[in-house]
Amino acid sequence: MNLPTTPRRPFTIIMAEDDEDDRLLAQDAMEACGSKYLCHTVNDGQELLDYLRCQGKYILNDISDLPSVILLDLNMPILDGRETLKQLKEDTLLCSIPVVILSTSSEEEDVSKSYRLGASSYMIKPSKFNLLVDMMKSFNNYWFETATIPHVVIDKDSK
Amino acid sequence: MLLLALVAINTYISQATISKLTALHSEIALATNTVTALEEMHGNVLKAESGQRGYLLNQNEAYLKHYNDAVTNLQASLSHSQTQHSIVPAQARLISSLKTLIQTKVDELSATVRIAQKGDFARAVAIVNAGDGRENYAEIHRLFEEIKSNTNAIAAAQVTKLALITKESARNLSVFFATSLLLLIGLFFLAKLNIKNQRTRELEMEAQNDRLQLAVDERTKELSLFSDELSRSNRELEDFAFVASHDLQEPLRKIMAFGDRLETQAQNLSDKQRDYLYRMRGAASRMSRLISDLLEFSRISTRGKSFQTVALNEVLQDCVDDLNVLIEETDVVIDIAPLPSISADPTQMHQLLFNLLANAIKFSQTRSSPMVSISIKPVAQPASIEVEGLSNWVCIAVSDNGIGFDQEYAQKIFAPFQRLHSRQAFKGSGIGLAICRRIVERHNGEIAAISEIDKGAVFTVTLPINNYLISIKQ
Repeated sequence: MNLPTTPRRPFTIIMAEDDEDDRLLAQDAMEACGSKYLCHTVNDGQELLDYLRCQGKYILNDISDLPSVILLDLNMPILDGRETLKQLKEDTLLCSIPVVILSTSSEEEDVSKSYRLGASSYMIKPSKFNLLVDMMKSFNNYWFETATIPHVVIDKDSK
Repeated sequence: MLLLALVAINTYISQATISKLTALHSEIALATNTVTALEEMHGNVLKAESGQRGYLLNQNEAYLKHYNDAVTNLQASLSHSQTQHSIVPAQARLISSLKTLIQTKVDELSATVRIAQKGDFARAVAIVNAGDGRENYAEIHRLFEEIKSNTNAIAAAQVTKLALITKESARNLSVFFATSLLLLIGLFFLAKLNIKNQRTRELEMEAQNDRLQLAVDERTKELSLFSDELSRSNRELEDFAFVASHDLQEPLRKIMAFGDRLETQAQNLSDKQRDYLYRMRGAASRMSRLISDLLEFSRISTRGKSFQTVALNEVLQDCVDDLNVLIEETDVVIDIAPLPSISADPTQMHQLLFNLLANAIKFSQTRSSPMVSISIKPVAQPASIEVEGLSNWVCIAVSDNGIGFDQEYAQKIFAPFQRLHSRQAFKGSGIGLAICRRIVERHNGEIAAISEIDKGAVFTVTLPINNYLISIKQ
């Protein structure tokens, strides 16, 4: 068995969140839990897809490694989380990136629909900051220390 | 009635005609008989006379035989004729005169014959020749002819009358036939008129029915429009409550989160400043609680599930498990009677019993030996509930020995966000009992509270055992 002692690559997170406050709080919480992973943020679902596909305002981006995990809010303008998730899971390349929902909604319907659409996890935004810190800590712990995730690389020739 | 009268009149007329005809017939027969009798008598008179003459002229006894026969016949005819009578008085008188004359003739003949038999033929012939007998016969002949012609005249008159009556009866028959025909036609028309009237009435009734149906349809349409409008506005209100509470939660969550950040990051805050921060975060968290309670309250009807069989004891045990920490802290004694299974929304039954139990514990925990008991009794359908088809009812009573309340607040406590005590004395947003009432109402039941200050409180929930959800458009 081949146990990796160091990360094979730098893990990165991309977070789609329309609320600036939430983006700030999430960044703060990442920082507070001592996260060593880079967390990039976008404002909505469309921007997320543009980023991942290097299109729109990200057309000049030159990334070869795609983010390791996607943190996705559900209620967003332009393209909301549900539709974004659907499109991600329909994309032959992007569908293998784990998507974790981070929403305020505790609606049973939202939870089950998210999993049905292919979400890997569902987290409810806590109202207390320290709970958010705990949440980010276990998020990092699980996805980057415990679980094994695929390394998705953009095949530039196919673009 | 008219028909009966007409039939009676016709019958009477026919009867009268028949009796008239019968009378006429007997009268005509009588006249004929009279004529026959008179002719016979006439013949006998002639026979007697010729016999007498023969005897007187020939002095031969043989002639007396004819004479005697004739006389005997005459005597019989006379006595018989005595009974005969005519309807015409004048005729009767004539007949009577004729009889007298014939009697005289017979007497005269007898006298002469008796004289001759004594041998005095000459005297007898002399008497005959005297001419009295001839005169007498002439008189008889005249009377006889008169009577005969009279009788014939009467008979003729009777025959005329008979013809008349026959004609009359024929006319009567025609009249009878005509009236019957008229009657039948009249009846036919009456029946037709009746049928026509009936049909008219039926048509009127149908038209009336149609009008009523139209009115009912219109009203139903109006009502359903109104009901649609109402359920739409209800739905909009609930959607609004949902969206509002959801969107209101967002900024609150930020207030609390950044408050946390401030508290952890600010190194040099004074105690007073920390207290302000603490109060601010407390208020935000209470508001968040109020909003989520309101959301829960608004979801009772919208997010309610369909009814299924719910074992209340199991639900209550779950509630006790959920409240375990509080129960251990307060040392409350909970006594639960065996409860039935009822058809209900399981989640809402849990909510209802949890709220009632938590409430009872909350308000009795300050007592030295807090006690909460849950008992049941079968009850009849409460008069205020008009739902049909619910036969078996159960009344669940949750009693505590807590601080109680004044009975005048027994209704007020079921309104949303109503509190009888300060937030400091007892926690809670004041939505619990309002949710209870909303759940019980959705289950076609009734909730009530009985209490007295410092004497504990009893909350009674009356629910149907075999329940069904009243389908109202949401």
